[in-house]
Amino acid sequence: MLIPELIAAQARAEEIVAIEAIAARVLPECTILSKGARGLFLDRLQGLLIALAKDEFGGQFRYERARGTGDRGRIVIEATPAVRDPRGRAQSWQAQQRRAERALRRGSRKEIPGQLSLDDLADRGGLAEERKNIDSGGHDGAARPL
Amino acid sequence: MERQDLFDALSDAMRGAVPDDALGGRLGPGRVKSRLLEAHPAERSPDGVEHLLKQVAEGGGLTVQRVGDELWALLGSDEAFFVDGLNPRFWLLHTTASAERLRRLLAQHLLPSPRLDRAWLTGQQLLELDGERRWVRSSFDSATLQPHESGATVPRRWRVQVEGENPDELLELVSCTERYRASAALTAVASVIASPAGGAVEVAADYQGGFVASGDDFHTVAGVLWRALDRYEAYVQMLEESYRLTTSASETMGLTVEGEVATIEFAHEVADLEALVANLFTCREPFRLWAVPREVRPGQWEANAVDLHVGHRLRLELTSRWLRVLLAPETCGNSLARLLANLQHRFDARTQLAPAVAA
Repeated sequence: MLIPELIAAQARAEEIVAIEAIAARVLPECTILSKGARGLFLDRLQGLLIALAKDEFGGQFRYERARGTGDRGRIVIEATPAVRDPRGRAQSWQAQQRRAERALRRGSRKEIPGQLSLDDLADRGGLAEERKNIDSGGHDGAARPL
Repeated sequence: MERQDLFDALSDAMRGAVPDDALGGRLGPGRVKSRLLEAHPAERSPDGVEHLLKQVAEGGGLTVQRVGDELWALLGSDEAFFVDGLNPRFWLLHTTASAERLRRLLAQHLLPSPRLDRAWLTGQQLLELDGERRWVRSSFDSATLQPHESGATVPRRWRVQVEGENPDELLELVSCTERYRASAALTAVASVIASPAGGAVEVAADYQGGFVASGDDFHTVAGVLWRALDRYEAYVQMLEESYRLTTSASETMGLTVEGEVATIEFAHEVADLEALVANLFTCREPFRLWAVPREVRPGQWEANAVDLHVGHRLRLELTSRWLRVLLAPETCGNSLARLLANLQHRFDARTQLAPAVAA
């Protein structure tokens, strides 16, 4: 769900997307999480976005650090097939599919799938598991598999 | 120019009585071609419509002029297109330019915009077109989604036009026969409507929101188009109200999910599910869907997709028996309308949504 969210932003020809906005779309439950769980989720999302921007989606978007203390930074979209010549646009979107496939393959090898599946999350214990980690102080702050 | 003045000028054009210098010679005589478009201006207001029109038309060498209230002319060197944006989401575009010129404008400048799409009319909406039916057309082509279809269960290609008295009845008869019912999709209809001046107009409509009118009075045609627009708007709004899935925090339940999953029970089993999955997500017309589908268990696929028209997300889950579509809270209803209309013309004419369960 994370990569489609980025693709959707590209399709809308958006230039900037806040991490919080991506989080709210990827996981609507985000709004009812405790502050700690929400922070944990945002940490992970941020880590995944930075990794995607460095690897498969390099040149497509970049992560920009927050300027203030209250926000999480943002994604700046640097290129999008949506503004390309219509004659080559479908091929450009298909290239995005190939990038996403590579990211997902890499993700499944390292157990860091870019496509955040709520089903997967549920299979692994879901947010309840996250809460357990927080309650037990088990979170080490590193980006973990989503 | 008032809207009535435009309709008078288009009536003249339909009668072949348009002055040579009308709009600098850009308004020629002939049939009026109209298109019903679904638009997402940044702001649903006349200014929003104008801004979007300038974005999409000026790149195509057309000058955008506001010629009346919520009425714009797109002027090229030899032709004029009029956009009636009285409804800022559902526009009507009219022209007497050649069909080829209109096709190019749509294909090269308007429809590539993520903010514009065709209207995708259902067979029922086509049947509701006013007037006495003159002809009906049915076409079907399974090559896009089932390229290896043998033709034994579903005819691979089909194109037929029935003219005469009550042509709807003959198509209905064909759609009841086992051999042809999967391909008898209603593609276009034409009707004759009496005009107040004692004459008549003929209006043809197709499932992609295209209209062609001839006769003596565009005012009568405009009424037909407005009623088609109203029905289409109600349809898209119904899809959005029924099938958008929204979540809200609740004190007692934690999280409340509202909305229905749009479910299609396929009328015949998909022979080649992998081909259907591969060809749904090619990022091309007509489906315009981006996704990296994955097989979650043998014979069941899921895809977190993006509708490249408007850039909204939707999730599709499918097997050879059914398709489920989960719309995000902001997903445009036109995405579902497009999917449905194209499955009817490319997979099975009987494809329809299971009725939403009332809350």
